[in-house]
Amino acid sequence: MSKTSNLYVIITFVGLSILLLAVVLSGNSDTDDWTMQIFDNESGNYSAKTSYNEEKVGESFGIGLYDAPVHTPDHSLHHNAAIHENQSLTGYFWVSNQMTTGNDFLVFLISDYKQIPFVFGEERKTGVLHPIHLEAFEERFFRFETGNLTRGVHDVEIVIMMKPYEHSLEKSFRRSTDFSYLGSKRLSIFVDSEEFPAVPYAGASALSNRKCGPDYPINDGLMLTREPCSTTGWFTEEVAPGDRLDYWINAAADNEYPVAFALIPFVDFVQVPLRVDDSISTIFCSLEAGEKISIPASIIVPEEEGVHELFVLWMPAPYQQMEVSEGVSRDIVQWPWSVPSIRVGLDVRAPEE
Amino acid sequence: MRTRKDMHALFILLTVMMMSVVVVSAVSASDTEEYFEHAIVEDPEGMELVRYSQTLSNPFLGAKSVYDWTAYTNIWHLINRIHSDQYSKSRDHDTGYPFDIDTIGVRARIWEDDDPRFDQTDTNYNAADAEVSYETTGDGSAHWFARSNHTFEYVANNDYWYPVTEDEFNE
Repeated sequence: MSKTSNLYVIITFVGLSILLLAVVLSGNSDTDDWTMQIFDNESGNYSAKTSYNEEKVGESFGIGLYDAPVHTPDHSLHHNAAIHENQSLTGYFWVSNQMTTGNDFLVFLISDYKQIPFVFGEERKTGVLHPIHLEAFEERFFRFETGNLTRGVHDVEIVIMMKPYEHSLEKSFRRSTDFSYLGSKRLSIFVDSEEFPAVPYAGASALSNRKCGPDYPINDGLMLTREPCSTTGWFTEEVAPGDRLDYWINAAADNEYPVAFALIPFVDFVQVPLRVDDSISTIFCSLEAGEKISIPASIIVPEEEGVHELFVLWMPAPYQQMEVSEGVSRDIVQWPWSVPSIRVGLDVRAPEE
Repeated sequence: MRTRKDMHALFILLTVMMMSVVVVSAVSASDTEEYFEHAIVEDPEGMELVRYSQTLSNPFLGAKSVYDWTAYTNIWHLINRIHSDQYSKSRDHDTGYPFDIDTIGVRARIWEDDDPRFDQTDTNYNAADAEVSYETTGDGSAHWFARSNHTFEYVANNDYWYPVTEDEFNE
């Protein structure tokens, strides 16, 4: 082969190498800013890989309800279940901690919009709050029982809260709790009946609410504040033990569609009355499109010094059909999943003498 | 001699073609990338989570990726305007076409310092997209924070995913 031919071969080889290098680099251009963490989650014949920057993700977990500890579609409870009067529904709550670190969770049950004790776990302990811990990428089934239910249709929702023992007063953490660190699954349980109960929506007089303007920034959701219709977020509060703390629950429909919801206040993840001078612990509201209100609420601050957690849970579409048929969700106009407000950190300190 | 000249010409042509591909690839950025490269944009990067779901289609061939789910939040500042995009997307892994699932949603809330400025949801059934966007005037001196809840529910495959994404600038 002549020198000229050799030169052309070399040029061609170099060109191919550059082309190959360009292809490889362009394939990685979307990920060069990420520290990739890949994991496999295998359940039966199904697996998934999720990629994300492990330093940035603060929340990633999965949940589901099943009639047996088998993670397949045919065992999913979906949104409906049927039992007979004075029977208890037994199911399995599947939890998947999809993060690179272990996490603590608290599980509780809301039955007909009241937090109740229930049986949970293989040891079948009865209690209101059930703590669990999952290691990195661990997933497990937890057996649960709803307790005996009377004739009628009942809304039963199992709720899981992430990072329940995080009590940081840092604003960045408090803001990160906004509609977050909570997952839930609702069941409509038909007990010898298919008739949904009438919802006792509270009127303005019962709520004593104020009206916020149409420009209030919240839509189809809620925000807690110290003043009615305030647009400043409320993250922490320094309070004295046993004091009365007044606050406002700002609740809003979307500007385009109406909403219906239940509101349940919690202190340290235990349901409390809406106001200290009232025994009502759940209120049901219905708002027209564009309607935004501020509802007065109050608590008695816990006696124990330290940081306590205050939040309100918004549960949408109470006593509404969630499925049109098994596994087929009904098209609900509003955001169909329960959301928590920001967890306000109550910094309880005895007054200095 | 004629054959050798033909070979030389072929080599030259191949080399020029390959170099052209490399040059064209380098300068032909997507619209978004070019927008961010040539504009004065503060904090153009957002946060993206991708879930590549796979089904074991054949014990001999192994797992096959069927659909990909993407959760995304980005907030950035350009000249005197604040922009934010939040979306949940479901796509066929092979074709990139929309892959409809039972329920797909995104809920976004945006803060300027301690004040919420924007709150919006988008929920769709038997669909592949949910998206929310926001734009307002702002000099970018404040701290802007965007946080999104995403929902992906695919009943037939028993697949449910509820990630959270966030982005901010002027930390």
